[in-house]
Order: sequence, then structure tokens, then C-alpha cells
Amino acid sequence: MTPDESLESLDRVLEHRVRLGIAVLLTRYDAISFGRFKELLRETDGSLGAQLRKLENEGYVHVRKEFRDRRPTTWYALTSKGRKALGVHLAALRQVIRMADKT
Amino acid sequence: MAEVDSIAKDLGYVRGLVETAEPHRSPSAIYLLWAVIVPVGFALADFEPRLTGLYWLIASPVGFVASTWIGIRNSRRQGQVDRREGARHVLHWLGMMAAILLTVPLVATGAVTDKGMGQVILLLIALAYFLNGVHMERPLLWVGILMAGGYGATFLFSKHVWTMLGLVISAALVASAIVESKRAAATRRASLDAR
Repeated sequence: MTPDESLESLDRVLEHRVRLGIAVLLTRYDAISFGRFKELLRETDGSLGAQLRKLENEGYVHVRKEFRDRRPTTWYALTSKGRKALGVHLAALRQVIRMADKT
Repeated sequence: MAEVDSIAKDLGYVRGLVETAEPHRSPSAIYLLWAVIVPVGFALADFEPRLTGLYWLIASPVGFVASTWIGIRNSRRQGQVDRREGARHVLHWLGMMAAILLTVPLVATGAVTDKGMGQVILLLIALAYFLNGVHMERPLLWVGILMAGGYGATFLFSKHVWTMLGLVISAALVASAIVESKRAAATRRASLDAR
């Protein structure tokens, strides 16, 4: 596989580093709230919401809303489709870096 | 090549994120809970030895359930749920309680005296705290060492040794709670400053 072919096999949704960061964090934790993502990623509400919506629309994350102390909390968890896509994407990234090291 | 540089930068960013989202440590409320339960149970061994077994039979599971509840509430409040980490804590402390229950036949068969039983249990608890400190909550390592020292003291002193030991362990737990609370406040401040 050439570097160009490896680049082709990257997942377009996970190419954005914030979305990649969200997916990786969700492999480590069972669920993370919107507020905690905001703390970790240091993104604005609008930008973070857009990235999470993109992942949700792709079926990569599952969203659950609940009320805590009368305040709404949104929780995100990785779906099996998202986990699989992340695995493929990370393997492609590794391949790209390996090929570049060889050249 | 530009793509590879960009990928390397992205991976560095993701690595930084994972490091920032380090697993949360136990909330200080759990340390404070046991700082109350422990000295009462230990003092009973000196002043009302007949009630000691009954006290720990009730206090241990109640403390365990309350600690689990505080831990779950804390992780939900922080917005980061890690069931594997929670299960590790639960299994660790359940293992200790099971080991303590398994010492009952030692007294029932007369293999160990009442005082000896207390010392064996203290040693088991010291080991459980020490191992928890090694693998999970570093402040508990020192509490475990303190307990092991207290185990040695039970051979040297005979009067009110359990009460003194309970108070020393309680003080160590309060100190751990203060350290943990300051660490959590510093993390919160750093997170706010970074925004």
C-alpha cells in the first residue's frame, strides 16, 4: 500500500482532530458529559456541539440526556460502529506514518 | 509529507487529551467517612470488646455501600464515567472484606485468640490499604504503612493501643482527604485558567 492509498483509507469523519480526540476519549471512558468534553477539549459550546453532532449523525456516538439537580446533562458514549471506525482509522494512520518513515 | 506532519500533530493533541483526562481519584468524602468509622470500631476493642465484631459486621458493609455511592455520584458530577475503574475499586475492597470473613474459623476453632484475631484483621486491612495505594490511590499507601506500624505496636503496648491506633489512622485519613481536596481544587483552577 502506498502512502496515498493509506491516506485514502482514512475515515473522513475522524480526520478532524477534535472528533478524533472525542472518539479516543470515549474508548477510555464509558460515558463523558458535554461539560467534561468542554473542559478537556477547550472548545466553544457551538464548535463542540457541531463536532459531536457530526459524530452522532454518522452513528459513531450515542447520546443520552438526563436531568441532574434540575439541570440538563448530555452524555456521550461510543457505539460499536464508532469503535470499529476508530480502529480502522488509527490503523490507517499508523500505516501512513510507517510508509513516510520508510521514504 | 505535509499530511504526515499534520497527522503527527493531531496524534500529539490526542495524546495530550488522554493525559489530561486522567482517571479521577476517590473524593475526599470517602476518606472522611472512614476517618469516622475506623476510630469508633478500634476504640470499641479497648472499651467494649464484645461489641467490636457486631460493629464491624454492620459498619463495614454500610461504609462500603456509602463509599460506592459517593464514588458513583462524584464521577457523574465530574462528567466522566469509568465503570472498569469503579469495578476495580469494588473488587479490591470486596476481596479485603471476604478475607476478613474467612478469618472467622480461626477464632471459632481456637486456632487464634481474640486479640490475635484483631491483629490478623489489622494486618489484612494494612495490606489492602497498601496495595490500593500502590495500584490506585497513592495516599492510601501511607495509611497502609501506618497500619502495619500499628500492628507492630499491638505487640509492644497493652493499654488503649487500639484506641490510639484508630485515632492515628483517622488522622492519616483526614490528612489524605485534605491533600486530595487541595489536588482536586488545583486541577479545577488549572482547567479554568486554561480556558
